[in-house]
Amino acid sequence: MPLLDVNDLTTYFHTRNGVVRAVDGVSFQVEKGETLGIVGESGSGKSVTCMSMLGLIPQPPGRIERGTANFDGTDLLHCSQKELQTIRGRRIAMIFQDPMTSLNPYLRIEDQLIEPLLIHGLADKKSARQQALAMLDAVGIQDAASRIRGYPHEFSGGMRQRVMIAMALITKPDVLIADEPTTALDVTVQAQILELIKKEQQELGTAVILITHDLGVVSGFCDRINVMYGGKIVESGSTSDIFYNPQHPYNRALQNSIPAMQAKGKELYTIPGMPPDMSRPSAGCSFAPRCEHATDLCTSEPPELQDIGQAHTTACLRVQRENLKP
Amino acid sequence: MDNASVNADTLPSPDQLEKGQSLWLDAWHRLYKNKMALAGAMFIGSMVLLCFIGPFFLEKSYSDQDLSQALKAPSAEYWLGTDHLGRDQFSRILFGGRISFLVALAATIVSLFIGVLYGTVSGYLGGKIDVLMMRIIDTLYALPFTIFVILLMVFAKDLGDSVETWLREGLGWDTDIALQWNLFLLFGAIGVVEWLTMARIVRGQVLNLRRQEFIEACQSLGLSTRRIIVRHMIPNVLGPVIVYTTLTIPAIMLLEAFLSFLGLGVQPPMSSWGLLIKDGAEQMEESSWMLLYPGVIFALTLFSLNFLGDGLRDALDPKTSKD
Amino acid sequence: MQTIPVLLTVATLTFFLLRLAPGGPFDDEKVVSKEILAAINEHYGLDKPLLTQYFEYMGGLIKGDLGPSFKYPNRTVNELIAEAFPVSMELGFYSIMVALMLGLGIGLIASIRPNTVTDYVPSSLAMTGICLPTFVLGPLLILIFSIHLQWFNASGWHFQSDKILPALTLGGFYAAYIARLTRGGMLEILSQDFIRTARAKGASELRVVLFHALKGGVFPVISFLGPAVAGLIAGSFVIETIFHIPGLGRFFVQSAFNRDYTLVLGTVLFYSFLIIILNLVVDILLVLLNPKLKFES
Repeated sequence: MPLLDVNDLTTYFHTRNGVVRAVDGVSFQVEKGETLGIVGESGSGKSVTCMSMLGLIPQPPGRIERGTANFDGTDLLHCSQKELQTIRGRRIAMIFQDPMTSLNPYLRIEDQLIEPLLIHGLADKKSARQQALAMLDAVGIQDAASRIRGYPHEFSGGMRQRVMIAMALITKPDVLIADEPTTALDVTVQAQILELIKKEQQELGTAVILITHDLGVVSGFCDRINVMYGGKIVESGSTSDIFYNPQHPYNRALQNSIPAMQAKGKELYTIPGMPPDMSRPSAGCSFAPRCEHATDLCTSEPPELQDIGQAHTTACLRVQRENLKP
Repeated sequence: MDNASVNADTLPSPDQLEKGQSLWLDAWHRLYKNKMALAGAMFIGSMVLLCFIGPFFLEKSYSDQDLSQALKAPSAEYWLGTDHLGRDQFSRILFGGRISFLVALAATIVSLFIGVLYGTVSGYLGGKIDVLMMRIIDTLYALPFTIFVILLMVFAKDLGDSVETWLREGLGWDTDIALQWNLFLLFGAIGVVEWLTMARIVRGQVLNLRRQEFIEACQSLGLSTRRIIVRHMIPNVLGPVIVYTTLTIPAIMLLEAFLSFLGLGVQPPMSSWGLLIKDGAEQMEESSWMLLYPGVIFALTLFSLNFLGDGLRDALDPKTSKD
Repeated sequence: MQTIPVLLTVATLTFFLLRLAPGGPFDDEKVVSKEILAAINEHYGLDKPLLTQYFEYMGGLIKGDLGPSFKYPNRTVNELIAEAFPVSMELGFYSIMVALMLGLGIGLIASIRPNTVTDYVPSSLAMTGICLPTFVLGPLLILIFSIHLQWFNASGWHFQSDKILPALTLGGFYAAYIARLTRGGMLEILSQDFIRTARAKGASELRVVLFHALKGGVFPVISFLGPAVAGLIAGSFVIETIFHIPGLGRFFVQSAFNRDYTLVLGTVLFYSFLIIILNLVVDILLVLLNPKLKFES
């Protein structure tokens, strides 16, 4: 029985310029303690998917059109605001991309750290403060005791992200959703943050959903990977399958684009064309305009994710019909 | 950033690129959609028309007194009633509107002129001159303005009275010069008070623009400082200036009405809405219409101006769009 | 700091402005003969050269003496101000309370669910408030509540109930501004990332608004307090006139009309001083509220 079971999640944004289909029928599952990576470009819908689950999408102009997201017996998309609030921060925690703006500049770090414990009635103030201090130490902030009374602007980007992680994990949640946690940080700090998340995860047994556009990040970290494009999952499988046995042209193209994998001295490979305009849905596969293997079939029939064996699914019609090995 | 991470939503679609949406066109579209702003604009438009053109069609003037008809309620003959001196309220309101709008416009132009010039020069020249000029503004800001305007108007009134007396007794002229003089000083006093914030806003814009590259391009082409200021900076500063101007006009109308209410603004027998409200307040026990009509019309005008100003601000500043 | 030069400038400007205007404080006394007029002028030192009068006045200022009133015989300006100011201060205090409570409340309600009914109604109310200046609202309120409903007196400052209408009028106008500023400030804060973080932690909307957003959201309101006080002072002139309240504002207006030089000068200086002090207090408040500013100052 999976911990989190998402089915046909669909979120559209109704804007002045049309309806943007940010997430278009996404389904996946997360097991207890598992690490799932969601990979995709900006605009692929990866962040919106997770934020929809927690009800953090501004509605209007966003709207969850359909779908279910079952978490331990509760459908997150159809429960009351109160129920959702008891789950947020307590059983499912989320950290965001930009640590510079994600912390409240007007409150002390300590007050923000103890908040999840207080809101969910897990500790009294005194005990919460002790736990906050321990947490701050555990995430690697030097001199935690004196720094804890400081304000966010006194911390560097990397340190703020550590604080975010501490804040998210202080309630020992079942799932941690990390939305591009390292994108806004220096390369040297990125590795440290990922190490930290991994270490905490092992200690607490938390499932982690890691959202990123960086293939390098997921390779060392995740058990399974969902590749998203144009608001849909186009391929899903174990990490080794995704990397060594890509079954979707987009995934294959992403692998090819990794600079480190390419021959020296040659022009870098880039995927031709531009990401799709999500307010103008196409009839067939959304990757077709950029795919070197596309045929008439691809532009006329909308593909569905299909199992091709051993927990590996793909949404490429040609692969499904076995006339393409990308 | 490589191609793949450019967001589709931020790139203009092909047909948009062809039309080349200018800032003004976009702003106009947005303003057009704002119903309240449009309603406000229409109200103002009609009011202005009424006040400036209307009086030509009226039989009764704003200053004809007929004591036998004093304090009559609205009737077929006197559409909005009469005041304590038997003057037709309707004409007084229209004429008062004319004066109120005129003062607001004139004072705005004065403050606009001084403010834009001061701000542009200060921002463009920069350095020590800028610092000094801003210090002057800061000191002036600290002064209690309304108080000064009041004093100035008292002074003006006296001066006007003396000059008029002198003219009448010394030269035998029977003039209204006190009235004209008073009005003139009113524009000046208010304008001189309101230019400060305009100067600050303009200076801020100019400072921003200066850093942008096209100004360097102008300089490297050898354009004179004056030319750069007049032909390149000032047009680009227009946006915030327009917004602030539309918000200044109601503020100025308010100030004029305030002064007139205290007896320091427009002087009888001329009327302005402030004066009418003052008279109305004095007579309100017996004839509440004297207060209600000018009061409501004044409030509605301010209402419309504010909505229009808000609408313009939303339309011209892309950052404040709601979605 | 700029206090001294500003005050000096104010004093000098006002002094010369008043003196340059034709007409002295006693010219209106028609019953008086020319000799007596001259004697009065001499008694008050008005016959001395202008510059001498200026320096004498400045000298007195440094000692804190604002001189005798010209129109209220045998009373000094210091006395008159001391008598009238407490009244105005009380009016001001009640008005600010009204303005803050009403304004913050309405603004907060409007910001919780923007662009819905809970926003439109309070926002329209605020907009109406801005368009009803004190001198329109005041008489209107008197018309409704004193004349028709007869709930309150139309004027005076004797009973506690007398204070309600004036405070409402003066405060109401500023409440409208504060409501709009609160709404704007709150909306700005509520659209920031850290609010999303707060929600992700499971905070209720109430907590998000009051605990996370409020501190930053009221920033524009605090900034506005400086000009608001200046406006309240100006507003007091009108309110005290309409409701016949014996406060400093009414004294100021009357003395300006009466050419009571010393009283006018005294009140202007007093007001300037007040405004400067209050602006300082506001600046301090701003620094206290924003931790980032604390660092920089």
